[in-house]
Amino acid sequence: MIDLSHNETCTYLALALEGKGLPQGLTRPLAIYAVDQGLIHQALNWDQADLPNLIQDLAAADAIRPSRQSLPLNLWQRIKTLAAQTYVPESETSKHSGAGAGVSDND
Amino acid sequence: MRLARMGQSYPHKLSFSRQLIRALIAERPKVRTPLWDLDEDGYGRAVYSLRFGGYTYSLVVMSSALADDQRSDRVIAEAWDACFTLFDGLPTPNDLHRLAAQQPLQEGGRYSAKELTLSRANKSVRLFNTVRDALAQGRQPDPAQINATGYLMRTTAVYGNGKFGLADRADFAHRPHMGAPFMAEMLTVWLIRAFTHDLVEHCAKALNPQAAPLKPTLRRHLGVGNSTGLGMAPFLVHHPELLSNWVTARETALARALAENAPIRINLLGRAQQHLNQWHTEDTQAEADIRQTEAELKQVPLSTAQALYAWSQTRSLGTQELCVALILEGADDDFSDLAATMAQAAPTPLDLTMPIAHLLNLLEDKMIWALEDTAPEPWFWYVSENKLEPRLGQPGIDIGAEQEQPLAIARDMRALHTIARAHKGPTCLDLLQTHPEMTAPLRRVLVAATHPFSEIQESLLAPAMRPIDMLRFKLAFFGASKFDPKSALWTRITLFQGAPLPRDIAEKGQDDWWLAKL
Repeated sequence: MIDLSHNETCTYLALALEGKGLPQGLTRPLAIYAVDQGLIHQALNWDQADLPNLIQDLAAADAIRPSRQSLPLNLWQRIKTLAAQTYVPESETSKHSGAGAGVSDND
Repeated sequence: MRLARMGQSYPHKLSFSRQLIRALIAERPKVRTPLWDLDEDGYGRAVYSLRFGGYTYSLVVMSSALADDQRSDRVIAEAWDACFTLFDGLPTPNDLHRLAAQQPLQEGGRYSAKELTLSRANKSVRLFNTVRDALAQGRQPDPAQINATGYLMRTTAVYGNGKFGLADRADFAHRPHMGAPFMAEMLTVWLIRAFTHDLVEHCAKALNPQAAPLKPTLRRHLGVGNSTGLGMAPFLVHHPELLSNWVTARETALARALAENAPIRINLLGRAQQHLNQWHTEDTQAEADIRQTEAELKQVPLSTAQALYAWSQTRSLGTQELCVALILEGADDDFSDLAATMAQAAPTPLDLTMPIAHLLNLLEDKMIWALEDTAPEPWFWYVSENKLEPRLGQPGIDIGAEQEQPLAIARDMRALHTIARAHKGPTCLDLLQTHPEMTAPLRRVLVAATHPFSEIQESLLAPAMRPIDMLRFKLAFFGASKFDPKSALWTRITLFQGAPLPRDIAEKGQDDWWLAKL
């Protein structure tokens, strides 16, 4: 098992849902809903056909006090692998022109 | 709210570092150093601890040797001069052992609910060695050199809110003094500053046991540096309620200060002028802006807040923003009630019963800036697989456009408007049933209906967009000063420059350090 904060669980689950092809704008609220309702396993099987019902569930769900999560390592690994599909591979061009700061800062 | 104005922001009375210092002054806790186990080179462990709001917080410091060719401020760096965590309570030897094992793993490390923040920092090698050597020779360092850099160490991100397994903000935001945004992060940086001062004296004493202590005025002028990159920009877009709450608090404070209409305080104006005079950057545009504001401030009418405000409106954006901060600073009002409104309450509910006609009205009212925006959008934001660093690319030149981050707000609003106009059903529920991808854009419209400053009202993908404008805006709310842009993508800044030291807080130190000067 791995001990996780609520926020990182929701963040990576949202990315995993996005990695599975669910619409970007919906994945964060869906992830929070899944975590708070104890539906993480089910969430990884959600697809486009489930969205109309899920949107209604989302709108009806009450806010729940966030709590830390304890997940089986293989489930967490699966979430992180799916999330990684939203990352862009490293390249020299990306490393040097895509973001700031030098690669050496000895001043 | 437009990027050009955001990019001229100044720290002010409601900035979060100011809020922290006022909270510390209200209690005057004593900062202790229960562990100081550093070798003659300054490598080892230290713990700083204080009782604050009924809770004990400890900064755990791990300082280690780092080769010069490894020293990079980028999050993609593999190692750092020092690693810091803000620990909830007083760490046991087992906690220190656990943290020491995680630190070398960098982003692969795992932290627990007992740790509130994590930060890494590198020495400003040039100034650190200069100060150390001067003290070791029994003299004070040159104030001009202290002022030119302004800090002994430079952090990169200060992580919190559950990153790498840290405590969620919700776990401690209810505690006294921890409700305002980024209080744990601010406390971390203020304690890091104390460590950097003690470290340089420690290293000087290792060279010469008779080394001079660092003069309090110089010590106070040494803040903590920070290198800030693109990560802060998406934050502002992803937290529209929070963004609006910050600006609403500042605008409300300005309205109250103008109503109070206090006389302009000559000492504050003089301090602002000296601060500008001592602030230089190699960035041509930023340097020109600073010099323009410095010149304009020489013509300030010495009358009241209202007159100053009216005068500033005919001057540059930098002068306008500085004058707002000056007016807030000169008000008797401490705005403490407004500070309490700057955190985000519950997220805005997703009201799916709203009629489509109402949605269209809201879009054409609150999001008209987006509907009318026809600028080309030659950028896309993405997340690199390399330590998940946020980056900016151009379609056709950079790979990754398929993994674009959802920051095309203007484009999304136009899409929602087109879909809503063509939609035949009565409510937003019907619309989302057929267009679930419009959930986030719809939520933004609902937020904008009740939060007047929730949107940066221009495209973040436009040709002339400069991410540093967003960075400066957010950093000014943190209380940062001495903005030193290194490109349009990143900037260096200083935090807590001029702020009371732990010894000042324990005694008579006041929250009188807006725009530090030496």
